Amino acid sequence: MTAVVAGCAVALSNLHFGWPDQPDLLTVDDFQLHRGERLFLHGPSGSGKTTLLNLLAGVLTPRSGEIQLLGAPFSSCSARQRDRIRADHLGFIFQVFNLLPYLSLLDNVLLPCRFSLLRRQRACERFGSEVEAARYLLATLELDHNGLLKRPVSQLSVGQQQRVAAVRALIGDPELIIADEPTSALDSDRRQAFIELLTAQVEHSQSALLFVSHDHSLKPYFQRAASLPEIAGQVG
Amino acid sequence: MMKRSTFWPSSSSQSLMLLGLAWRSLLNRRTSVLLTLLAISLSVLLLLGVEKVRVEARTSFANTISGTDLVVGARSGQVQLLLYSVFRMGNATNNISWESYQKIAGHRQVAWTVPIALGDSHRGYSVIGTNQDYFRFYRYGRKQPLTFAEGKSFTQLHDVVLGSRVARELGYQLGDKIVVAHGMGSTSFAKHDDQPFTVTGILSPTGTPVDQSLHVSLEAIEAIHVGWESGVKLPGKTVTEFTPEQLQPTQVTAFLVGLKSKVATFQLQRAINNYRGEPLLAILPGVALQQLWQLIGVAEQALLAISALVVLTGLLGMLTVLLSTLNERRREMAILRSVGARPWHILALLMLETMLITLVACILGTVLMYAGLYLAQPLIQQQLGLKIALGALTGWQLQLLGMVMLAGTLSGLIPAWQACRHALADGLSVKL
Repeated sequence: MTAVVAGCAVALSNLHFGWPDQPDLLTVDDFQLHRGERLFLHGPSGSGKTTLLNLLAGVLTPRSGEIQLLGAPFSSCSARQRDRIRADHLGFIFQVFNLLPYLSLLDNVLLPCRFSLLRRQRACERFGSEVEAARYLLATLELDHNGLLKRPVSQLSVGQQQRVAAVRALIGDPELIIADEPTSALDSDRRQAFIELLTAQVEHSQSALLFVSHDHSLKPYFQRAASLPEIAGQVG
Repeated sequence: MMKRSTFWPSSSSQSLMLLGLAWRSLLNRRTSVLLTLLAISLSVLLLLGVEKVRVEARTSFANTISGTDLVVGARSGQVQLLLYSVFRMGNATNNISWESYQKIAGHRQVAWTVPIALGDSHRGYSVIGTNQDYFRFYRYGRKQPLTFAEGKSFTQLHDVVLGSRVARELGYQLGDKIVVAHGMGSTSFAKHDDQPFTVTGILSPTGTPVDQSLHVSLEAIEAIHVGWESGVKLPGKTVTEFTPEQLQPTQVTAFLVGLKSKVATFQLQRAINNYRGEPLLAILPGVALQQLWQLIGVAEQALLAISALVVLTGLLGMLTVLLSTLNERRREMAILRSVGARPWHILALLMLETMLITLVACILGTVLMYAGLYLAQPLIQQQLGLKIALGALTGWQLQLLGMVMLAGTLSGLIPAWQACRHALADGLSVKL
């Protein structure tokens, strides 16, 4: 069942998760996300999306079963190793409040390069310096005018903030981007613009994208769509 | 050019990066941080200030008398002798006869003596009968001699030299007439009002009991007591003319001794203590001062304990502020975790915050102390005669600062550990 994991960004098998002394909250028999693949994951509230994302992020550990990230046995790693894998290979975009209010736009974007040497090296290899990398990515998401770079992030619009969060997730080319309803705070025009820019950039950097959302109108931008109740046999 | 706009140095170590983050985060919450900073700074100021005043008071105390090898009085306790002869507090149990005084003053090892006759006062300040040697040989502080701010020493029988504080407090000037009262106490009914004294000199401030004394000649002490042989003034008897016999001193209360060679100190001390003519006591002023200081040392410790408690209160205030804002900062921690921060980064971040606050508070408290001393210096000198030196921090003060730093850093462990736990439990998505 786990034979093709080498080409997988994420591979879950026989995964069971539940809080101690409680029945399973989430079970996934078999799920794979290939490298470079863009997956649209939907599901009703309470179907375990946040639980799944926390398992993939390594902040929760499964009761049994296996999570493989980029071919590594993620779920059996130590907490330290999971922290390192997350820092080096994962980028996150959340619904709202992605940015540290006391850092400038540029400093927010550069945060992953502070905690991961690998992502800093990748950014430097591709663009000469991490700041150049940030600048390039900000330009692709139309955030490159100079006045903006020095402005406190609290003065940015929500749409701009989400694009900054996307740039931060993308810097240093992590293999997997996890986006948790990043468009829910945006109006439909901005939503469209955001998803176009994000998918284009993900395609360019060959990252896999796991995009969790309620909004089915975004489906056409993805190679594959799946519902969480479909991939997870829900218990309770 | 772009690099300038980011606050982290491009090749920074992680700790520098965390320091930058902690600093930015603190600036972002500047109001509560400033208040905390102020509270700790003030407690540091108090701690250092109390310590400084304690040291200065001790120095000033030890500086009351210097250059005197022995103090001699009637046999009593050494602290009591020191108190009445030097600090002008309390009363002597007995006097020394003039003959005994002359005999000891004539000892071959003795370089000089200063006689002191006590027992009279002026509005609560002691009147001391002495001679010109007082102004020549008495030393205080770092062997500083007494100097005259105005006028000169007594030359006539009814001349008086005032200590600086007496002159200032009572508003006396050269040429003023004053009346000496019999006995001690600020209001006395038995006054030597038939023989007023004229102020001929005012001494410069010394910060010692000299400032609170009035000085007259030994002969003047004899003169004002002519007709007081029974202890009270005989009614209707006013003396204006004195015979040399009447003015010849018959006794002194105590006397200070300076020796030709320090080596002889103990030898002479023993000789005086074994003096057969009358029971006498000779003390080494340094030893007696030390003993006296130990008596009041308890108050000193209490003062230090109180300021330590104030510091503790300040640190507890910081802890409260940090813990109460921690909940609002869970999102911040979650963001940091999502961009790759490990739990120890979160721990270090919070610890660095408390360290930064405590460090800045220590520096600010020290600066405030020096500023306060600088401003208060003239006032303290004027009011208390205490000259406070603006020296560098003492070893003990530095140790106190180190203890504050350590306590501050350790108290940072509590919110840091809490934040670390939250960050792990919250995962990466705290929805606020």
